[in-house]
Amino acid sequence: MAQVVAESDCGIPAYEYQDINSTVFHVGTLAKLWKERLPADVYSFEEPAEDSSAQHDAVFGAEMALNCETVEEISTLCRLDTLKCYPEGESPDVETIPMDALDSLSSLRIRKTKQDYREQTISKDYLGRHENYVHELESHALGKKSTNPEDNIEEGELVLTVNILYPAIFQVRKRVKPHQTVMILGSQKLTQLRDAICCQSDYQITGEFSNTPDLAPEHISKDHFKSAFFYFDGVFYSDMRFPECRDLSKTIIDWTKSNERGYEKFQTARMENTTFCNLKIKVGYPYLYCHQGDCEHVVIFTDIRLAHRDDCRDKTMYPLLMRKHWVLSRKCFVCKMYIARWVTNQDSFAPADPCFFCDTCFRMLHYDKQGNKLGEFLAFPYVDLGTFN
Amino acid sequence: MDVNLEHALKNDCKTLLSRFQQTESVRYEEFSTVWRDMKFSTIFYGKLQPTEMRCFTKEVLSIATYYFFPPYSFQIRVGGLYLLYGLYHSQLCDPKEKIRIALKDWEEVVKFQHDIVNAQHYDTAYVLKKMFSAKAFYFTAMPRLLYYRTKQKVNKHAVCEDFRERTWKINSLVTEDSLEEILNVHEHYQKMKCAISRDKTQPDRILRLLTEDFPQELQNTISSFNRWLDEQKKKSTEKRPREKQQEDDGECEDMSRETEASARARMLANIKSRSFSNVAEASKSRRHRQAELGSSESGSDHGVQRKSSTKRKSLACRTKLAQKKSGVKQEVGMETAGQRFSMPVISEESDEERAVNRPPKKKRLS
Repeated sequence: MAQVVAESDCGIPAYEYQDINSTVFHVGTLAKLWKERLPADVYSFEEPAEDSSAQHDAVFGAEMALNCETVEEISTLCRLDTLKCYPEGESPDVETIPMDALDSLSSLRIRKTKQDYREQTISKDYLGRHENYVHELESHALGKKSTNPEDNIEEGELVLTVNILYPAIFQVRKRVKPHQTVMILGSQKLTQLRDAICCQSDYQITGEFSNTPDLAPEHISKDHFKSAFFYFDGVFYSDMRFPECRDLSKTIIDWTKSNERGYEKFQTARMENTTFCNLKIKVGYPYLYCHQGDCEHVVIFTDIRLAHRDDCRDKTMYPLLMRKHWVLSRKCFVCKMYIARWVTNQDSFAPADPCFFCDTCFRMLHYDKQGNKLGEFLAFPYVDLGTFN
Repeated sequence: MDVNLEHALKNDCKTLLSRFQQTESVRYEEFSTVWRDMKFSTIFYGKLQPTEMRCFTKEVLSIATYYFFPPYSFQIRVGGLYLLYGLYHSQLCDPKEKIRIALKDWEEVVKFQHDIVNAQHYDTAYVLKKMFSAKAFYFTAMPRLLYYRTKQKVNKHAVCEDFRERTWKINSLVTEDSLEEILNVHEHYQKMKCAISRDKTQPDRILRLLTEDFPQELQNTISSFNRWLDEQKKKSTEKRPREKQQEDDGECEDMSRETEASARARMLANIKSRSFSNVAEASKSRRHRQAELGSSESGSDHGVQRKSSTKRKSLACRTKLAQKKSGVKQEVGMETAGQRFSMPVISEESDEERAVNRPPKKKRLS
């Protein structure tokens, strides 16, 4: 145990539990330690020059105190062509699995069997739109740069990958994959992550609006209840940007204090004053994001690393959405085309209870041209998860 | 990722590295021959969708990264580096998937880089440098993406015992330094006995409490143990190609056995001469230079000599590590931080099993 403490003190993260989560460490220190250890050119964003290989050889020769011939010999010995597994001058077809490699590579045999099975059973071979979507989302920002040089991220900046799970109050989605995966910079504030999290309950509109459907958009929960907090390793970071924000963590802290409940002392801090570099966290450990009073999302930092040349370099694009769970959206029962915006109960016009409508169909069916209510029904605004797709 | 595929991938990497291990060399040339022979680049071939490809590439790289770090032997680590180099450059993703290096492992990379430069393995140094300049690495907090999974079974990397650098208890007990020390002490002891005896050339009979040729005996025992160790190693490495290639390669194997035998003889001679001569041994840097002479073209014997020298160098620290770690308790179910290093180095059963085959000479010692 003493060893673990010593390691976390010096800021080098180690495993607390193998392949599950790390020990607590300070994020800013991690960046500092890496930058101390690495020569600057190793993590710089510098684009490779035209004659980069010749230049590289020269530098290598100088470092090792070798003469030109030796360096040349080494570089011909180690050139990338030595890895090619096909005759000179030919370019291989990467889509077909070469038969002669099947004997030596067992993983290829598995792929071959899979592919053969696929070819036999599937009549049409196309990229699934879901796959396509994932790929697009992952790669749309890769290597992008801003035209304004000030908006580009600096070398040695930290990039954090955060998984946000579905709120624990929805029992249905408890076991599915993370709701969204976001990449965020070490220098960014926690509030920026909070704003990037999209959750249904933020857009919820409470109340019955069958008499005044036009008033509904004014009652979005997000604008009414702005309080939220993150909980990272013993500290509550509350969002206090607006005067009407309340410190939601206060109740919890009071509760832990009210009796001897065996909790350590919790601290509080302000979300808007904290950057990710100021945090002390464990990688891979579940933390909490709570908003709208009781909508609690588990938040996990899956990765922290130095920014790479191929990353998106436009600061303004962060927090960058990397992956999102794709959900089927509920369509309007009338047109079967648009996503449902309204749900009605005890509706004299509807075939089912509850019944879903898009905005247009809802108004056409339930109101006359002057906007007067027809028939008896209760109408509630409905926020579909699919709207975030 | 598919468990079967992951398993197969591990096997492929192991096969490649064990074939590289058999060459008993750390030359890139040897590695690329094995690579081409196995057609390893084709591992990325086949109809793969972009996301699938990314996922697969990440997995291969992360599997290969394990071989670049201890507890594997120096040769396997060099092989691991070449494997990463090969995989990184032959992957079909664009932009390329990167290799993850964790902060806690960085020390090892620096040490490794230092070792290869000291031992003048220029091709290895070149490959490593080239990977840095190609920006092939992510510098991360942890070696893998971590995601708190309690229910799911986490596949952990089982250390391949064949590739591990062996620490034998005998070797830790009697190191070459201590052997020399014993020799010196013994000599001194003999001289002292002579000095207090009546006959100044020979100690009195009363003072003969110890077998006179004790150091020599010990020396012989150690060298015969080393020989036996070599044979064991050979047996284990020779079994594999026979299973795989069966008929052909008969000639090839004979040849390799021949060179191996000569290498073994040379190693033994080396040990003997070193501990029996009182001449100060050549400095470490000097030995490397000797081995390096005219060796940009590699022969397997160069590899052997160099390999043995690196082995010798790291033995003491390795033993220390093993001793330290053997005290670490292992938790049930979940593993602690040191697990990767803290596996028992030699399993007791296999040790006992081998003890049966061990030359009987050892008994005289005790």
